[in-house]
Amino acid sequence: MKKLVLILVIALITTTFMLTGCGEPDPAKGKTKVVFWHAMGGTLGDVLTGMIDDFNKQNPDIYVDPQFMGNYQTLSQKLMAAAQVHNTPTLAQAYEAWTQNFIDSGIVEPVENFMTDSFDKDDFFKVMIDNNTFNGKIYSFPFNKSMPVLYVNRDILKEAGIDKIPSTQKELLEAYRKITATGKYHGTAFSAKDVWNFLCLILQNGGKITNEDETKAYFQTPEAKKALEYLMTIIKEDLGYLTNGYDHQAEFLAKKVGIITSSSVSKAYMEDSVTFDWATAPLPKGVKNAAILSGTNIIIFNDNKDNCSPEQQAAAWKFIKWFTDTEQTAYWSIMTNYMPVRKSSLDTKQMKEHLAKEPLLKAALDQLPYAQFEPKSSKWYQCRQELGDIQEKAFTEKGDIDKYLKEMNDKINKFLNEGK
Amino acid sequence: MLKRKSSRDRFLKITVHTILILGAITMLFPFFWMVSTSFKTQSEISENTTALFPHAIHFKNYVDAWKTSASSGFGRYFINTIFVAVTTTIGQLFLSSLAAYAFAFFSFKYKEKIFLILLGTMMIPQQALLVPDYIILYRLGWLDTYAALIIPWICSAFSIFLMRQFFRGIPKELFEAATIDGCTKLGFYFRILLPLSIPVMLTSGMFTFLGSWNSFIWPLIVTNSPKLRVIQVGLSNFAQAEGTQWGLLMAASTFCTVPLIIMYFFVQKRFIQGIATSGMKE
Amino acid sequence: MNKKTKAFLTALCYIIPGALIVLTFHFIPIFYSLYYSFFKGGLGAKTFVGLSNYIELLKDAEFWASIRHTLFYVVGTVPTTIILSLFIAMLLNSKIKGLSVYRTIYFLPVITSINAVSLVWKWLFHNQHGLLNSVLNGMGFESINWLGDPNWAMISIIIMSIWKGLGYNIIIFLAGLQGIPKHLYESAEIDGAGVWHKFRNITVPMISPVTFFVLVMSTISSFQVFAQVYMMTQGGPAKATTVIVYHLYDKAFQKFQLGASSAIALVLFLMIFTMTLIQRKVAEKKVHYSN
Repeated sequence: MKKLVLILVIALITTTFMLTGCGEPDPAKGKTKVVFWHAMGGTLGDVLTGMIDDFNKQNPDIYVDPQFMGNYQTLSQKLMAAAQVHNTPTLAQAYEAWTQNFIDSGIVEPVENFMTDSFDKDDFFKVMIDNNTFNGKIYSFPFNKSMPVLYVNRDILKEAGIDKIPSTQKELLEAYRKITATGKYHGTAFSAKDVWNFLCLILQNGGKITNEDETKAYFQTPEAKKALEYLMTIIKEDLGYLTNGYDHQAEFLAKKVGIITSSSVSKAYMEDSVTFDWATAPLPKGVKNAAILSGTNIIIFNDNKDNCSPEQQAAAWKFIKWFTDTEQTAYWSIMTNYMPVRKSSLDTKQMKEHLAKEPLLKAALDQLPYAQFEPKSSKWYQCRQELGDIQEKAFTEKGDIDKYLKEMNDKINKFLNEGK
Repeated sequence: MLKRKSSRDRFLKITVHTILILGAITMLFPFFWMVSTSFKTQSEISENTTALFPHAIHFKNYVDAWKTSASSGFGRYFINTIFVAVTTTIGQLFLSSLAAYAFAFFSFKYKEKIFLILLGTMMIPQQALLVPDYIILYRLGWLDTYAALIIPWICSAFSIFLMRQFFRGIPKELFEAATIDGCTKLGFYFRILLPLSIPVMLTSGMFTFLGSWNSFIWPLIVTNSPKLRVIQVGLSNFAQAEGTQWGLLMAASTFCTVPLIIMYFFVQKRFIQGIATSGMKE
Repeated sequence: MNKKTKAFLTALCYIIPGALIVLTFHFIPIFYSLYYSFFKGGLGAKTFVGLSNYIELLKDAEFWASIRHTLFYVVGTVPTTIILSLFIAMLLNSKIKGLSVYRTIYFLPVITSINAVSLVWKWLFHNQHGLLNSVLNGMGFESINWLGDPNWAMISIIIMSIWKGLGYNIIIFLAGLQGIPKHLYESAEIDGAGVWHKFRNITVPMISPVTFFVLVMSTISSFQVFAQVYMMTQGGPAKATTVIVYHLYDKAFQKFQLGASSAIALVLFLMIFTMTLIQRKVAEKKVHYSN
């Protein structure tokens, strides 16, 4: 009897699947299909798929099929596997170092090849285009770029007697001291391994990370030394403490620290949890203002005959163009806090209305004019990891700064020139 | 004399229970934490991180988590997961037990060598299998189908090993007597061995089912379509690069685990009874 | 056809359906890895480099460190798990009330997905507001920076892994214990044997096949520890938890060096294989099979 029930259940499930499998009409039938692998989950994913639906409605001859790959790690695993057998999608999100690797293998179609003269390249922030230019050619296009900003707990600032949100490195350090002096909070918390902070500080000090060709590291410079010393002061004076990954956000939300540096996009993950008066502000100024863009770009592949025919590539470009047009980029930015890629989007009515209501995004936008990016070398992921490890070591050992900087410089020089 | 013994017994019993209860609390705690967090609001979670209990039972996380993801929501994920896990388990039980039967009862050339090769397949980590298996599935044309989710897992060296161990406990004389009485090898497998093997089938089946239910990277690598996606992929929606929605993640983790607990509670008795009654060892 | 060949072919009929699956998806990949391990470059274009991936591997300090970390993990996890799970299984086997409830509870960690529990444990281990540290502080001890201190991070991973795998081994041992014929104990008791004597002379030899099984399986899986490291520490802090498989993953999918990572996979394979062979050799002498 039991067995009979079991068999029946299985038969039922199987037939259900046969039916659903065959019954669903193929939405791409008779259309140009663009397969898009992305890693936007949760609400970000909902916004993205909503926009793609709109695009598909507006373009009845194209069907963009968004395929969610869980997270960036699995996306990179999958791209790696797919590249082995030329089974790549039409479009995918990719970090610069991935793109450089793909370019070296010759499987990316430069988006520049699709740009006609009428394409108004100049309306894009220069940094966005430069960020996607490899060996003088625009290969990829900015997709979801985020900006680091200061997140400030105003209540704690008030308690510590600080009436103005710090705008220079010096003021910020002072603020950390005052907050820590309350005895109730720490000034800040940051990831021991993430070098986003460190690199931003170098740029704010007027320094550079590498030379133009990305063949020579610039860590044994006064600017880099000042940057590492700054962070070291925070640790040595116990003005802030170290965390893992994005955990410093949790510290901020739990009212343990007064100020953190984090991605503009994190706002969406924090706003439901905030129980205090908060604000965002641009990163502090050193000798100049600087902030490093992060996040991925979008690339078009050319090595899969099923997904990358000229029509599909053209359709993919049409989608990219649409996604980054003035109106869409404003919408994407408003919904997700990723950076708008076009200047004109800042003048749209919706963006202006949004900023009036939501000043949090403003701090990030204010940094766009002077934003920079990290090296794009195919080795950069490795370098970044190595920098993180040395930085972590420096924070835990608290030894001689020059020693760590030398180690950074030697390692990065070695990686950058490997295989050259 | 008798009295003394019974009071000693009682003392012993209490000690045993105390140890077991302490152990049980340790075992249970992380799970308890997961459930407790799933009932907290997002701000509650960040404000008081060590609170054991939620202020109030807050069901909204469950509702939101279930509805999440524009493409499908957890309903479809569950149907897929159940279908994949059930078929994988059935296939696994059948194919692995057939092979284990041969290894346990037959004597033939290269037996040890073949067995070692099979055993060797357990020694390659899944991370190293991903690219080669993707290529193999691509060549077979199975990418983005249920076949890719099910077929590579319908037999495993682990199950063969587990079952062989169990079958070894069944006296060979039984097999020899049956074959002398004119029972065919296949007949012995179906009529005598399988009925005796329910416990190991449950054990091995449970592990296969768990493995399938909890797999995350494999389904992502071998499928593309949202309609083939499974629950663990759904969970990844709540833990993204820029932040984690703890309440939702814990709620979804809870409702993904509860079916397994219920299932285990019902099979567990036979699960063990069985391996014990495999007895007949003397 | 001679008898031997016939026996071989008959056996094959039973083995082939399953073996085909296992070989295709779990054995052929070993040859793919072998092939890739002779090449450099991960995405598409590759250049043949002979054995240089292996030579670089032998010179790679990080690789050696990852082997050390893995061995530390294996030594920290396997014996503890075996002793603890045998102990609890024996308690559960003493005809106590509430057996099925205990059994379910102890098995819970096995059921739950490693990804979900890793996140929960990360929380429990949290330096500032993790529950473990609150308990320590409550008992008057200082906080331990579990996952943030290179000296503690691997121990934290080990604790979590023991917790996760204990229930599974308890069940296996429990089954083994219940399979021991009662009369052996009874006759020993008549001879006046004490608890330790019974354990030493009846329990240990009678469950030795089970112990062997648990030993082999947990060694194999411990050498491949990955998920908890990936979820909880990403190999850090200061690479203290970079185990072999994490190193392999990092090389393949974050640095796109498929060749180097394949070489690691093969070395790992050989290590585990040798380990298992040694265990089998030892077991042949020590394990007591009742039939």
